[in-house]
Amino acid sequence: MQRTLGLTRSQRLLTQFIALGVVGAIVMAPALPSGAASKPSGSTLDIADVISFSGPNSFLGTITVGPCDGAVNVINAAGGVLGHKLSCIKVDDLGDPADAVANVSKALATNSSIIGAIGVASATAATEVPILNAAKITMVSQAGLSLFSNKFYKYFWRMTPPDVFGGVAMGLAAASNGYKKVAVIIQNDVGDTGNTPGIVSALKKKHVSLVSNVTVPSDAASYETTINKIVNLHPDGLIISADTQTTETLLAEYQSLSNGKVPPTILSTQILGSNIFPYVKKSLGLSFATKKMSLVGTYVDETTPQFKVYDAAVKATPGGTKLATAIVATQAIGTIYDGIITMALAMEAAHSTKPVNFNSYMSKVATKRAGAVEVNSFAQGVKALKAGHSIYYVGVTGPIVFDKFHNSGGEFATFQFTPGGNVQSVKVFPPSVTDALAP
Amino acid sequence: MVNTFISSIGFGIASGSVIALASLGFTLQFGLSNTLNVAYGAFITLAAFLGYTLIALWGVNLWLAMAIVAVVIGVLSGIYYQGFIRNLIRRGAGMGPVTIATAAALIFIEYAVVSVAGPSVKSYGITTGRTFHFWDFVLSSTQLAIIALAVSLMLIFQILLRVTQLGRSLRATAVNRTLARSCGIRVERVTSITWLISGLLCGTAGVALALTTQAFDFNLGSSFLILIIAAAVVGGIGEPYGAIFGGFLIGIATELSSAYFDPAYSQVFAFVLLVAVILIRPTGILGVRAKSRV
Repeated sequence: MQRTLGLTRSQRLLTQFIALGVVGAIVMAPALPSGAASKPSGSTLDIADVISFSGPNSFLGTITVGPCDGAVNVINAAGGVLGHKLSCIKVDDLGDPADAVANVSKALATNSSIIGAIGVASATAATEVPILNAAKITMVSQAGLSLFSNKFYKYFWRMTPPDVFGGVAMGLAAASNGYKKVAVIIQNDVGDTGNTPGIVSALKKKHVSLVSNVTVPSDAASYETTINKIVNLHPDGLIISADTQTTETLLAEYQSLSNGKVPPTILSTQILGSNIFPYVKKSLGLSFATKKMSLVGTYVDETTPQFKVYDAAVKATPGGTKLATAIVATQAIGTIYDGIITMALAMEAAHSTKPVNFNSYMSKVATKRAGAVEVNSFAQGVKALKAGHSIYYVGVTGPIVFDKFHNSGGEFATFQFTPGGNVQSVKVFPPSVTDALAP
Repeated sequence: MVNTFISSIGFGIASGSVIALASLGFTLQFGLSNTLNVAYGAFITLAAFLGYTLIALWGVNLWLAMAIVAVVIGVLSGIYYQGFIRNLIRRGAGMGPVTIATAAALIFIEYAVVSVAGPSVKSYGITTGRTFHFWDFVLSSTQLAIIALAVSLMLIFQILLRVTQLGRSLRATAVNRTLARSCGIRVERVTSITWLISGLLCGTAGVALALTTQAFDFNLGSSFLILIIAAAVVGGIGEPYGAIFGGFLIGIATELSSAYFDPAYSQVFAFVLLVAVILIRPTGILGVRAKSRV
């Protein structure tokens, strides 16, 4: 029997067949009309939760499961969408743009029940959005990349403000906290560096001195030379946008090099979900953790009836029971919940579960206009639609106003930790304020 | 300007001492068994998490915990060699397949750590202690202790290598395995002991690294592996003194580049140095000298 590289002829043929199949699946995935196929009534339709479920950013996956399951549970409890139940499925992109291509393509090629996607975060959006868009899958992205503020993808929708506005809010928080000399430390990755122009612009317009603006690599053994230079500039406030490990190393080295005196520090709410609070409480003290450390991020009004429904729905899920209110109350995951409700209402309005049909209704069911009825839940929306009304959905994240690139921003706020480790909003920055300070 | 230069050297020595420790263990494995053990990074991670269990969860004294972790990782390293690497080599696997197999082991071990400890960032919760200022050096008591520990271990290793019978056997095996065997040296036994010693160094370095960075996740070892390999290659791969020298050089170069250039590219600077050394001296800075000395 002829053997090559230790394989028999039949083994080689099988290997070639499998390899061709895998390559074909990956290449053809974007072209597959996976979301376009009509499903028999009663079948379950899938919402793909496309995010990192493994690797260093796996906590992102952990916090998206609750709002995704919570939203589909609320929809299913109200009878589902046009006779279909919805379900969330995990698509692990490993937080890596290259891995995302293979994993998202594979999911689309092998699951024709996917009719929508959420997640699609900053680190991987640049590769995922074109694939999902080509496959005609309506997506509500959590990416903050400014790239999507002026590049049109038909199936791309975003209720998360671009990173640059996150930066503006951080700069504004520094001015609001009374800092006069601020040092900014940004981790060298696509998400965090997106904050820099906004921070610089806001500080300049608020006449706050920027004594240092450095970008550092993630998870390095030491940042001491950089930190030592900053310590010698005597800033009265720090703004850090970095992952948990890098942030903790930076704070520890600052503490060490400044004889324990770390100035008040502003972090992003994106760091919630990690163990930042217990770490800071232990290393810098409870007083620092609750009084000198601020977190800046998008804001959800916790006093609305929608929030209570959302909070209960999220916490009733297996993934949501592990989430602290601190996480549930940040808009980043509130947009997952609202995104799925908006998709479901768009399907009802379009009388179709096919993204090619309902995608254009995303804006129609969200935009406030004359004669339209405000609805705050899926059940209310279905009822109003059946009564022949036009609707606009105002969910947990507030009014949704999509622009021509399908972006809808939101409010920002500063938060502080409570002694128990939850966060509470301290000051809200409406869009009019952050818009005025944008670069 | 001078202040910054000197303080950066100090910071570089502190981070370099950890890299040097880890790099010494790594290069020993390569020197004795011609194996590029990528899973070394996973053993660093494992050491850091074992340290976390002992120090943060069970309240064991830091230095005692470090010693326990070093022994455990040393034993595991020996088992890993005997049960995995040695079998691959015996079955005729070349350096390429063995390296790929160690990369697979790295992923396996790191994900095993995640499955037990979870993906979140961990910290020993030990502050860096009092800060000492002398001349323009600024070092914490923890850093001074780690530097002292690293230097002590390197001196002990030097004595072991130069004075003991095991050291002579080790050096002979590194130079010519076949000749060493024909001279009556039990080459396999020497190699196994070397993997155990390298594991001790790896375990110590893992805890020291976690202590230095203050916070870590399951990627700790993989993210530092590239620096460890760089240090070994710069010094001369397979050469113990080269690894120590390379570790300090990489640490100092990284800190100096942060002082005078954009810190975002500090690690790039280290690799520019690596490429420059390879271009000028392909065997590493101490590589050629080492061959004739060992």
